[in-house]
Amino acid sequence: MAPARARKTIQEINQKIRDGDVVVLTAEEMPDLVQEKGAAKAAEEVDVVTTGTFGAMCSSGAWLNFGHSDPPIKMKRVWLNDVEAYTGVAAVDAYIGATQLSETQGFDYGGGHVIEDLVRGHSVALRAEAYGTDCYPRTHLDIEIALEDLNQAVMLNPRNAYQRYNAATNSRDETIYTYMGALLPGMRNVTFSGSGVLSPLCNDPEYRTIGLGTRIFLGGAQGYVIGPGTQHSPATGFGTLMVRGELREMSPDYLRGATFERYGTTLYVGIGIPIPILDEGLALSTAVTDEQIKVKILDYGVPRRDRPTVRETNYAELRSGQVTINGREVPVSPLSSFKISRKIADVLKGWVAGGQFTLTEPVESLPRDIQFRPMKSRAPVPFVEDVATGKVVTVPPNMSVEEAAKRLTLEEVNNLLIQDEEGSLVGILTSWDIAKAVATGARLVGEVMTQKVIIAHKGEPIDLAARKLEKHGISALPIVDSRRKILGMVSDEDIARFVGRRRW
Amino acid sequence: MVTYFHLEFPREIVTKPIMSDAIRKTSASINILRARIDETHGEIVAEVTGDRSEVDRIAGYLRDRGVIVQELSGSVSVRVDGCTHCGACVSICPVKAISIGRDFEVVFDASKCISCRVCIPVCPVRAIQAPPL
Repeated sequence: MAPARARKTIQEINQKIRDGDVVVLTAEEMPDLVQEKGAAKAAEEVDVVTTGTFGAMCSSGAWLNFGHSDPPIKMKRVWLNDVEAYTGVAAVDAYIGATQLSETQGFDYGGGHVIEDLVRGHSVALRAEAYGTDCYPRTHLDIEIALEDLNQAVMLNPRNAYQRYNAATNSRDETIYTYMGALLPGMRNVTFSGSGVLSPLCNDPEYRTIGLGTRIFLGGAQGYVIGPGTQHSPATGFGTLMVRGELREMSPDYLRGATFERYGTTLYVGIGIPIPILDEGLALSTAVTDEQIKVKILDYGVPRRDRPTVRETNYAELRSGQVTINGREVPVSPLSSFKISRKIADVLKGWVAGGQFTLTEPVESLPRDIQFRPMKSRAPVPFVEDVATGKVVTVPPNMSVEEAAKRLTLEEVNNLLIQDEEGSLVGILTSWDIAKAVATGARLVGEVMTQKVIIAHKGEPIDLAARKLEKHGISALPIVDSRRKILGMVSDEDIARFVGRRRW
Repeated sequence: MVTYFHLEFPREIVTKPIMSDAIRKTSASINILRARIDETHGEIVAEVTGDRSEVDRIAGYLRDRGVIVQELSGSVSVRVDGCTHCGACVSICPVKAISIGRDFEVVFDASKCISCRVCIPVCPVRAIQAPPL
């Protein structure tokens, strides 16, 4: 779409803000007005549309400057409440990142919680180590500090405010714990993130008004967009923002340390962006609805970079609380708070209408045509079938336990794979199962075999197989194809042998 | 009739296939809602469908095998403090006691709650608390 001819300028809107006669709507209110009066009329009437989002944003953190101790220290490593901060810069500068875990509390406390504690005015334990230099002789530091004691505390988030985000479900037969929350087995729930109709970038998808220097609501204070976020991918509709703001001015209502069970810690960040309605085009783009914002539901049960798509959906369906997957109604959890997102859009609306917040002209636009690229691999990922050397001995389920015991000894293997007439894997028999058969008097392999076999699929990366072996405390996995035909056996030794050869 | 149980497996019995034995021996319909098992301890929240005598038989069988069995009832109060209304808990609740209300606030229906506690660790800001079992 060609940019429509500008009818209003940011300066004119700012004058209205100062004069107290600016008209502001939230992005939730705008669709109805545009529907009712049309985009041209809406663009005339409305000056600013406010957006808001409050969700888990892992790529968040803060630069802190502690001031110099006496004698001074050049911190080599530094911890805040036992959460390590990055200090590979000057002597007393450090970056506390949201996902860094506490060395004493693990998943229960992390960098996000440190930031929340600082903003709440709590004091935190600062511990530092150094190697000592002629100019910085001190080697240890152990003190309590609070936000007010710091010289600078700048929130600087490399990637926030994802334009939209794919929803998640899980096809596996076990619950998995992800950054998209706990995903129940057999696709029994779906989770999603983002504020849809209120999403800042969805309301200005061509980034006509959002760019470097755009003043925004960040964590309850006024902050700025300082460029595109990392992984900014406008070509696929997944734009992101890099933002900064003064931590000291922020509020714990809009910054919350959080834990995703058995995944890690993060920070819930509140962001709101005002969009100046310069012309009809912006009136139209801010009239976007939840229905129009499409995302995929991805299967997080497949832990690969390219997760399979289960189906397409949109924010309206996700927000309804239920989606249909394979003819079944599946309950949905949002992970972002729509209630607080809405509150942010309202607060920002109040700031603009009340003359406390004027708009800025971006110094530089966000890139509009780049696409996020996958990591460059030096070597192809090895698959289980590439490293598997394990010996496979298959027997039918109707073989006697005695015969199976003989095969086990004769072939010198730890287990037998049970194969039905079609050649499909139906079970596994270990020496333990044979002991059980002796104890219970079972006669046939099929009666005592373990039916729930932990398997590796053809084409599975060895890292994934290694995780299965570790998780289940087993030493080998049968490799099967999509029809459960047995193709081989991959053992921990196979993987260790390969990893041993790897040049890091 | 649906009854909910909290089952605790002490260290000595954690390696035994007690649940599968219980299912085979009692022909019960048991749905495991949540399980946390490691080498030292096991904890399961399960839904058992069947009439009272059948449910009691299963509970009795599990107790005989050394499982600490506790029937869950909806009377335990859950305290919610500092909720951000993100909704992470709503799709996890097995009895739909948690939902999102008209004003996009997370609504907790104490009358439906079976105090299974599956929502507690799921809450990103640890806003849900309940007395230990």
